[in-house]
Amino acid sequence: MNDTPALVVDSVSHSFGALGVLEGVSLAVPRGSITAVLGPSGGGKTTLLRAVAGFETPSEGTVRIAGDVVVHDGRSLVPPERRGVTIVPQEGALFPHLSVFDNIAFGLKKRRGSDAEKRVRHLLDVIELGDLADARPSSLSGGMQQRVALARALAPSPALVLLDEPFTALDATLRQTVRDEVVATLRREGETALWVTHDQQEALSVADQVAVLLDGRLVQVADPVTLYREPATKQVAQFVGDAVVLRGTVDHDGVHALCDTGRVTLSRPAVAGPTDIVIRPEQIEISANSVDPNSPSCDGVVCSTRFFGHDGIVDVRLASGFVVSVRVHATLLPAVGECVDVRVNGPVLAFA
Amino acid sequence: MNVGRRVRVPAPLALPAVAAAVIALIPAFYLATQAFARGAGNVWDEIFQSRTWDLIVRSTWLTAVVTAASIVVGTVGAWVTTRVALPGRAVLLVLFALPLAIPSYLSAFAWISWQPGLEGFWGAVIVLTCACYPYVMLPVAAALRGLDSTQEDVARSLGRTQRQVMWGLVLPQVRPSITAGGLLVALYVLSDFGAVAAMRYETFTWVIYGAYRAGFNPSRAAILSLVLVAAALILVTLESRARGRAGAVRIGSGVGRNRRNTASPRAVVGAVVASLSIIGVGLGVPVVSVISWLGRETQRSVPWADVRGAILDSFLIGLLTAIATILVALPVGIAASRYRSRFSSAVERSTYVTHALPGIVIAISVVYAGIVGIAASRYRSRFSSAVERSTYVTHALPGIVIAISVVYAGIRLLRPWYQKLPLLVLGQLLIFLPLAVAAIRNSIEQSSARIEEAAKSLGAGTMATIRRVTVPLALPGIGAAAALTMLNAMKELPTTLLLRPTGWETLATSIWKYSTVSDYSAVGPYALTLMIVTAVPTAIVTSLTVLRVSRPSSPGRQG
Repeated sequence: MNDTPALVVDSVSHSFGALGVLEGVSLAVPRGSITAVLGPSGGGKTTLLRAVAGFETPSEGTVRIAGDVVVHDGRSLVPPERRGVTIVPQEGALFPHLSVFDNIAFGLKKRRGSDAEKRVRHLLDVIELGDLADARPSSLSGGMQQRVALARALAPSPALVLLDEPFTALDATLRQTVRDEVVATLRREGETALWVTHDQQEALSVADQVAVLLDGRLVQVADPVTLYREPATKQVAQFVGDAVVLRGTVDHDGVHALCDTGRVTLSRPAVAGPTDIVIRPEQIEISANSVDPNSPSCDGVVCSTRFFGHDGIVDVRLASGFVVSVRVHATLLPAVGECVDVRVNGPVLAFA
Repeated sequence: MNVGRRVRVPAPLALPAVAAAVIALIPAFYLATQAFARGAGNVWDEIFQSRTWDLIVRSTWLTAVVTAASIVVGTVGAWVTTRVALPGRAVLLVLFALPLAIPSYLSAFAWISWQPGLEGFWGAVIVLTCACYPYVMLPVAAALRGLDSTQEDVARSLGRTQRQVMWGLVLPQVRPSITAGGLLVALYVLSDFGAVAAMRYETFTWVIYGAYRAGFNPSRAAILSLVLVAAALILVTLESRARGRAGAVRIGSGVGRNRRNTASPRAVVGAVVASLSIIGVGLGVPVVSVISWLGRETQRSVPWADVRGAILDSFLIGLLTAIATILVALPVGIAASRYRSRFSSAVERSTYVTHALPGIVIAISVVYAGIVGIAASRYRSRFSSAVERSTYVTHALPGIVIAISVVYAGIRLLRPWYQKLPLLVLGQLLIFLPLAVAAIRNSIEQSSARIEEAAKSLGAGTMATIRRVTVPLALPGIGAAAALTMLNAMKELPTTLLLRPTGWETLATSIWKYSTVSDYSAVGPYALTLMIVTAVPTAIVTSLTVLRVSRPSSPGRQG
């Protein structure tokens, strides 16, 4: 097995006129892995993807695909059609004049013959649309279209598949199902994928590695668990998952801090002094308390609740007046106006 | 999107596109050498004659009035056929488009034979407006059908009235189609000869024609033609500025569903009145006139063999012209829609230049090109026969400064074709190239560029993507362009008169032959046949440009 990463992006910068969209982006995608590029709209995700695919030539930096330099210092050395990188666009972009079969066969070197037939049939089985080989794309549902778009991208056995927010056009329930199917297919076929998304839940659940792109810079590249537990900056912490941010002060020992919820333990040492404390909502535990809400010994008062069925969010006004959101099990949802004890479980993050 | 992208047109596309532009510029080169044959001073003298200014004013006035009238009639026609709940709207649309099939000289004769008092400015306005409004109506109807009606629903829900939605939301979105259609109309009016000649309204084309025919003053004709070229360039530039970014490539899928149709009594009554007027004036008068000419024919027997021969000749010329024009227009259309750059827009614009030139000028340019080729290769016998054919052009020979070797090389290729079909096809191609380029470009812009990117990422190269994706998706537009070219080539008169192979007689030349001597009863069969034969490509153009728009241009995405 070759250890050359499927994709290496090295110090890539790009701008549209005066507007910089990518600044010194570096990223490696190992073979057989799924890397998610996570960022808000307008953060440069799509530009990065188009630069890898060859539809945009970044003004600086190098892009290597399977070890070959395809872009170097503002010059595209390999056109899109010879990069061995296929895309699954947001809207599918199936060829409306071709059947499902011909769509999938489009990228094959030989589109006729038994090998092609076998490859397309295999992929049709993989996406479970074996019966629809002769159908026209316009007769398929959105989810089916996306699956065909994936099969089409996989057919030529590319070095890398690029997925550009592939499920934004689908409704929420369908999205989950199609996403699971697509990930399963990618895993089963051992494909390498670069997956662009603005949905942090999607990024965390599908990827081996998540690259957070904020304002054109890669702020952090890590596996999902590390990214969630140890975000590099406060912005990452807030973007990846929900976060409660409180003002606090780091003790002289550097491993504890004092904030509105009391004394907390830090997950990594910090410099003593004023700081932002980031707590995940699920770390905060509340328990009912019979104390009079107006008494000074009351930790917090419930000011509103949102019920989601399996769980709920409770907004608690702390003694300092600051409101924190807490995720609780549905059976423990307190009533508005009740006094609750507030406790923080596990270490929290401090960002000076 | 892609604000800062450097666009380079790939060579396999750029070369034929440049070749197309060079071909399209042949008449301009001819005119330039001809006009400056007597020195630049002469050019200024001719232009600054008070008579020339008079012509400019008259032509501008006619162009402005006809363009405005065509925009109004064309937009109303488009609205009636797309937004009012009338039965049989598809048929209505084809009926509205049918005046495309009637040559302006024929409809002018029809009006004159019915109302001789109409001669002059207003007669020319009526005839030209009838001939031209379909150029506005078809793209506007297509745009109206393509609009997403959810937008209109949103606007209504935000408190806008139907009328405010129309003026504030719908019209601004179809404005690019209106201006593009208006451009074609203006160029058509500038170049039309038949209608103004029949209506005896003196414009540039008429005087140019006169300068070639009567006075043998090719220099004056060329100078006036250059003024037309300048006018065309100004119009094309104004239009592309007015169009702005609205013509940008559309991203994403989805064409409006559940289109809203007005069924309010006022709208329906208005639509019916408008329909009857449009059909009555544009179609009724010429058709009734021609049929009444046929009525007089009973005294004489119709020369059916001649009519049949003319149909065949017309059809063959139309077909060949359509094929040649599409082949030349395709690279230009693709370059202009998918590889937007100064280069591709310059190439595209150069193909528009010929559109403002009267057919006569183009025909003479092509003859001239043929003669240069012949002279250069010392084919004396052919040379002299060419001189017989158009003596006036010989004036040009001393003035030949073949500085532009590219043109020269192209011209040499024409030599063996003189007085043969290819040269006639080339002449007609020059005239209809802009129509074909515009139709192809619009249809390519209808499909999403993302689809072509997907093809490239799957390993299809530039040309393979064009062959396997771009062209198949643009087929309706290409078909419409072919039908439009064919239709016009069958109507086209001056180039056919001058460049047709010996012994060829088309429907158009036959009509001209008899109507210039006011033998309307002899014109009848040819005129009626021409209208019937050209109605077929007209219906094809209509259904391909407008009726197909109702189908989503890319697959829907609702689960």
